[in-house]
Amino acid sequence: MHKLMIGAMITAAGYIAIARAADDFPPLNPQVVNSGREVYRQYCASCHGAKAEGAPNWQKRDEHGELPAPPHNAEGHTWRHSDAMLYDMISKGLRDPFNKTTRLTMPAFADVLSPEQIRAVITYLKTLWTPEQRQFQAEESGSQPPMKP
Amino acid sequence: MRRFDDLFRGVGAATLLVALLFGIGTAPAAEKSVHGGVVALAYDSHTDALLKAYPHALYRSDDGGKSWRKITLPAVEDGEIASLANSSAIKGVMYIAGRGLGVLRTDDGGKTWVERNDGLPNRAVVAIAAHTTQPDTVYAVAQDSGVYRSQDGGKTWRLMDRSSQGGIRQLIHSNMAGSMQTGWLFAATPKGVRRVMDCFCLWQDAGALGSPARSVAFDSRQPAHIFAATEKGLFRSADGGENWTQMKSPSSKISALAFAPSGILYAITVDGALFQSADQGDAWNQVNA
Repeated sequence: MHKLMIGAMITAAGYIAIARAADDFPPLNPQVVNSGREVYRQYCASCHGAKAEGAPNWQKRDEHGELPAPPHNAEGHTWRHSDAMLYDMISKGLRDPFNKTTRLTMPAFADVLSPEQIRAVITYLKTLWTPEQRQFQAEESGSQPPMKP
Repeated sequence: MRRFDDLFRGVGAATLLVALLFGIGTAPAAEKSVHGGVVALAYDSHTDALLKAYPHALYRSDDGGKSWRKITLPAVEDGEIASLANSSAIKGVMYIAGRGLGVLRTDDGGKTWVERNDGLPNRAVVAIAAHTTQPDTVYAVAQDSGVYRSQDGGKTWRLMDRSSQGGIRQLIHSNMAGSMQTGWLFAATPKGVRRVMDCFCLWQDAGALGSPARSVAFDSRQPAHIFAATEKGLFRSADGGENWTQMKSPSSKISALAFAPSGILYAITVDGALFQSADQGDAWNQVNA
């Protein structure tokens, strides 16, 4: 009985610790998350995966010498970038300089998505990260200029 | 506590004493016998000085390596220098790091030093790299723990990557274009040269050197031009490490490289013999023969 109580206390302490970690950053607006999820489904999922799991073998260059689309979930590295940098990448696109093709591997969406849609999809991506990753990303965002425009 | 100087002993100390008495400067072989082999070489572009580190000593040369003067280091218990990083972003700032030493920083070119270990898991730091353009950003590789970043000159550290890439021997930051963040990190590892954007997004092999790398350097005027000292000799790349060409090597024992903005590539052996090349490694001259 005594052991059971200690076990329950440890479990409860774990939940409290996770809840506190998750509370260290502001909650995400559910409406914005839903909007971002829809943008993701329509414009991003075809390359980055329906569950943001990334393309298969995304860490290896493909037959064209390009790095496939990475995951946006906790397995990827999207959480390492500030809001401003993510906005820039979605807006302007990106090409890994060591890709063997010259095209933008990540297309530019500035003419496709509105600023609100870009912000919304970034907000949605945050729901896919661990509390620790969200904390890191929030701090990275805090140390850099806010999202443009 | 003891000073690095206390490590002078036996034949090494006698050799050094004789050299000093006769005013002939310290020969590289004598330095090696006293301090161990050369572990790091760096160029201070603010003052056009070369810096070389031994496990127990740090030297500065203001005449391109012809003569050297010792930089006094603070007392450290059982510490050995493994790495040296001079900041290209701010004058006078330099870091040394090593096992048992942790990280030490100077803001005045080596006159005074402060420990910068808060937030690091231990003092087993095997490599240190200063950001090329951000004065307060510095990276430290903690043995078996991963790569840490500080954005306040080493006062606090954050774990960025749990992998040490199989044993990073040297880490440098480069402002080569194409990064999603602010630049790139190149690491000399037992697997060759590896690189990652400084967001630590995805470590990749930099080409296929096929040989353990001892040191890596880059041309600050053309950051995609990379140089590597490996167990198979010296190599250069003009495309950020994708493709490598073997250079002439002045010695099989090159342990460290440094590039001066004037276009001079320096290579130093573990014994302290210094060579320079003005044509990116096609021809070499020994500086301190």
